[in-house]
Amino acid sequence: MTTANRNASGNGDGEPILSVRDLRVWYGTAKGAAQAVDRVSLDIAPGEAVGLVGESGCGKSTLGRALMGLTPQSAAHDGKIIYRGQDVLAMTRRQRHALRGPEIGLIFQEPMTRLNPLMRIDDHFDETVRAHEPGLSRAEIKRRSLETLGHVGIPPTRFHQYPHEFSGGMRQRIMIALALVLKPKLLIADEPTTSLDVLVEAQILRLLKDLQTEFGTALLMITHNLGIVAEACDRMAVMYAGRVAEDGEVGSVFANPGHPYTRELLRSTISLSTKQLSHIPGSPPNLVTPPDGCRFHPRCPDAMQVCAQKVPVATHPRPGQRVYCWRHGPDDRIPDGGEQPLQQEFDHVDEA
Amino acid sequence: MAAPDDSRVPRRPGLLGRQFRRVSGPIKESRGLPRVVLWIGTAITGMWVLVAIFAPWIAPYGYAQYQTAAGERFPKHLPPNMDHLLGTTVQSTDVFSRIIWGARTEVEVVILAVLFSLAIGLPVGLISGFKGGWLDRVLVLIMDALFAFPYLLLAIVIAFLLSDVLASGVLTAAIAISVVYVPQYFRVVRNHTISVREEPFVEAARAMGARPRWIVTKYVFANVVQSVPVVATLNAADSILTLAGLGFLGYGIQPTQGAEWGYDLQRAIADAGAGIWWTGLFPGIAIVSLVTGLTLLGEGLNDVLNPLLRPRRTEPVKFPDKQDDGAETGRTQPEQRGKS
Amino acid sequence: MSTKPDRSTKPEAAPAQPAATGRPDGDTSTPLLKLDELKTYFPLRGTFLDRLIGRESGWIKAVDGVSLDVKRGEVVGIVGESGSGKSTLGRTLLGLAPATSGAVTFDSRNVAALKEPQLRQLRLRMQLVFQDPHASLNPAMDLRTAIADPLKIHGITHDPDDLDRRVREVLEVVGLSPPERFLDNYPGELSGGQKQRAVLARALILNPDLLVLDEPVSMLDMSVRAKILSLLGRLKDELGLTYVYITHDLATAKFFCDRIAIMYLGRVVETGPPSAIYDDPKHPYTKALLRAIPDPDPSRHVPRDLPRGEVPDAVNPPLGCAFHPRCSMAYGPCGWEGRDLRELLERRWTRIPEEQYERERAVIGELARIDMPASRVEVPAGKGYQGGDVVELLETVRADAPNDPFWHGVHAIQAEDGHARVDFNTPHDPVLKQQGRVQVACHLWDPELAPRDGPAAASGGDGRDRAQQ
Repeated sequence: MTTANRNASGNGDGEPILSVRDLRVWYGTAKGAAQAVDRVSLDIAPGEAVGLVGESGCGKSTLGRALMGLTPQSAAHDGKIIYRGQDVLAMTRRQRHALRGPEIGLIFQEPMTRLNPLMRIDDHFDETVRAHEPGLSRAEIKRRSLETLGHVGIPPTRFHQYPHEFSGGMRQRIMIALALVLKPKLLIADEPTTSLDVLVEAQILRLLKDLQTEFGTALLMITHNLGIVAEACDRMAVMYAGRVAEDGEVGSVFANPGHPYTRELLRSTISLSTKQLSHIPGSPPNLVTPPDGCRFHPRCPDAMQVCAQKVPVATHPRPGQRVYCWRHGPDDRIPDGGEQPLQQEFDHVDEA
Repeated sequence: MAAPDDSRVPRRPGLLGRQFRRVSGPIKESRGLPRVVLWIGTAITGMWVLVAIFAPWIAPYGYAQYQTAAGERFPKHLPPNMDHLLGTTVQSTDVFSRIIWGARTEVEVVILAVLFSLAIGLPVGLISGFKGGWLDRVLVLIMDALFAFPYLLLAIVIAFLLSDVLASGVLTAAIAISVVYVPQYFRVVRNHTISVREEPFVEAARAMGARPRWIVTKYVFANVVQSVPVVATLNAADSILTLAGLGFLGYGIQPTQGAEWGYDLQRAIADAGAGIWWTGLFPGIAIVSLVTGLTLLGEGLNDVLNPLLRPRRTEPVKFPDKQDDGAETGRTQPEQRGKS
Repeated sequence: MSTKPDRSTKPEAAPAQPAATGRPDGDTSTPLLKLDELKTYFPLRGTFLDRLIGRESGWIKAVDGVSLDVKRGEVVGIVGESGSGKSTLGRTLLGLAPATSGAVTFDSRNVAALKEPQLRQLRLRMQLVFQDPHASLNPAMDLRTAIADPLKIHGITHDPDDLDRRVREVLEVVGLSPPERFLDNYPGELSGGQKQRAVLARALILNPDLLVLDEPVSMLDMSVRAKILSLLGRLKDELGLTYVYITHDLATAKFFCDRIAIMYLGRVVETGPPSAIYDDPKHPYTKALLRAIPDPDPSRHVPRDLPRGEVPDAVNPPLGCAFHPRCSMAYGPCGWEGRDLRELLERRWTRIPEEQYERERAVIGELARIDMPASRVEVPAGKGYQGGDVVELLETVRADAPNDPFWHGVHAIQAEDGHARVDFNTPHDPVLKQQGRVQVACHLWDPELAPRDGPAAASGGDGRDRAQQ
């Protein structure tokens, strides 16, 4: 592993539980191949919480799914996803199936669509546990299920009820319990709180955080909400148009955003402390014909000539922080005159 | 005051034109089996429509003609030959000519029947679905009763009732058939209207101050009418069979008013036992081919227009930099991204 | 802020107001919109049998007595979670949902009492912007037709050139420029932000006075939200609009609103200027909401002391204060009842080992019998147990967590034959009372009910003044 790779995983203690190397997932559309994930590298250490942020259509969900070996049928993929020494993309279907659940758990945005309305909660647990641990006795399954449900705050009196008898937040708790009952080492949560109210959202985030600490589970939280990342994650990666723009410790990225996109995204986020509205001009590119060079350059206030020509390389402006932006060099890779500011012909038509 | 350069405002297609564009777009984009099905259906149906239009020029004889212009009677039960390509019937009429003229009858009746049932089913379905309440319940009850009634029996009853009132057999048959199919249009349009009615853009139109009539015509109709082409084509196929059934039972087009395949089939029953195959086989083939053509057309349209069934047009994705080597071992370092 | 800017500053697109709506010009003392004890209930669809025998199966009390003033040029925020009734409130004040009782006075006319044809006239002046811009545009209409449609609906003009000119102008106003690029687009061809701009254009082409914005930015991406919000702010100043801004997002409301009303389960629990509400929230619910908003500040962590559970069912709202089952500050008069006891027991049972749960569960009979909105419940004993056993269990539960707010509400527990009777304190409905710069509906601020050491006692007696609506 190169230094770059090692630095990519923030707290350098131990092997990462999951490393993504140069991953590309392009899927077919009517207009051509959409470069949903394009040469992404990322590490997740055991027990750490990583936030993956980006706007809709930046490829963060495609990446999350690819990590579990779930890519769209028409997609081509390339690169490596190493989970505890094994390449997920090179696995057989059967191996990948065995991975999902006991090793990597997944929590979706819409809990109701993932629960079978005709099955009681106990049946859901029964099915899930049996699929991966066929030898377990009924009593043992029940004990484990109730214990996990207790952790997420679902009373045992409701074990035999149907999904429709639960509220939205309760269903998400049940989904979390269903993922945790198999004791996965990595939990991927794809916008787990988007459809929930702010109080319930905070409850679920608190719950995920507590469970993550208690079980030592690594967590990849895919979200568009920077607030969630700030409060619930240790490290974060910012995606823009299929690529990672920046990653690093949450504290240092928020304090010193290295990539202009991260900085502008932080500035445009409306929070209780917002005094002045700010926004990023233009709108995200379509992934079929992304801009050359740095994909953010047409909207970037700091763009230089080189940004429109060459794809930026990884730089490490601070320990544990990786930034793909020519502003941070390396100078020897920038051609002569490349540092001249780019004349932006800003097209108002593309204003979102 | 119009700006001086307002002339560049392009002429825009009207509502029908825009609807056509919404339908034709997906057809042009369609791929694979649905496209094949659609084109085969269109070809067969189109052929029969052309035959119907040009019947007087194609058919060598009249549909009821049993003798030459000179008054020489055709032989009965003549097997196919050069003078009578598909042979003659027990009444000495020319089978080929009757099939060609029959196509005209079928197409006329089907077009009229589709228009009639659309003219009733579409507005009634729209109103029923949009208004809801007791009106909807009553209409659904009536339509379900009609639907539950055996369709051939219903058509016979209507045809029987109308036969004394209307002189035209084509019109009578068309009305009888439309009564059978109105409930289907009604159901499709009503159910679709109910789902569209709940869309926020309908409430938005209310919030703009639109009258119900305006909402139905401008907001609901255009979103409901898309389901009609498919239902219409499939029903057209079905109504050929109903028309043939009516003719077979003697309640359809009277032999003096036009040629009709179902009637011909009925007359050919006795022939079959005597080894005279051509009087029955060819009208039968005609019915089967037109019904098949329309069904394929309908199914093809359904696959193409229904976004849930429509397979995404996807080309296999290739990475531009990976023509030859599949393994890609040396590219694990992010630093090399700049090369692409 | 409250005076309407000169109309001549508006773009020419502004159609002449019909004289019939006689606008009291320059009058700033009467609010543009006034809600008075507004209630919107929806009948609950019962079973087929219920409807057959005409039995009423209950009401969903979506809006349950809301009073509010909206002055000209003001932005009033209605903030609440889903199920708070905020969207129904917005639809009621436009006459899109029928009010059950109370009044909505818009420019001295009671919207709630108007019939559909009169409402249509009024809609020239009040417009709605929906949460989902995609769904609120007709997919079968291009922008030119969609945006011109309100003009045709109200018969303002049918002249194609005039329509074209006005549509172009309003597209420029909302920032969809040059208009030629957008006129012939269908909604499916636009981005989320562009669609919301188109929806705004459609609402503005009638030159309304009042816009009800129902979560106008919550479906948009973060980087687009700020753009649409600043557009809304600019339009308000340029066109002299008044907004009712409905949202679940306290952060945008803080930035955008002149006054805020926090709703919970159909009622306003706290209302006042944002500076007062955000700096010194009075109602425990407001406090909880403010704490729960994820803040992009890594030094903060997800809070621990969050209200439990979720917004209850509006068919049978909790007795007393609707928020009391989730409130950490709740005490005696807040409306404790049978359902709270069940919740207390279930909460306990998630925390104890399975065997202990099985033991305790057996002591109590059917849980459904205590699961009711009543201030006195009989807790049935399980098979082989007596009322005394139930009392004993309840006392154990109390001893394990004596500080749970629930126990403040319990007046007495008595063993009776086959069950234990639990009497709760009399529930009191909180009403909005002036408290400094805000009005708050919470017993903690009511000197008559508040505990000795509560905040009301400290802040003097002005809490007695009944809310002036």
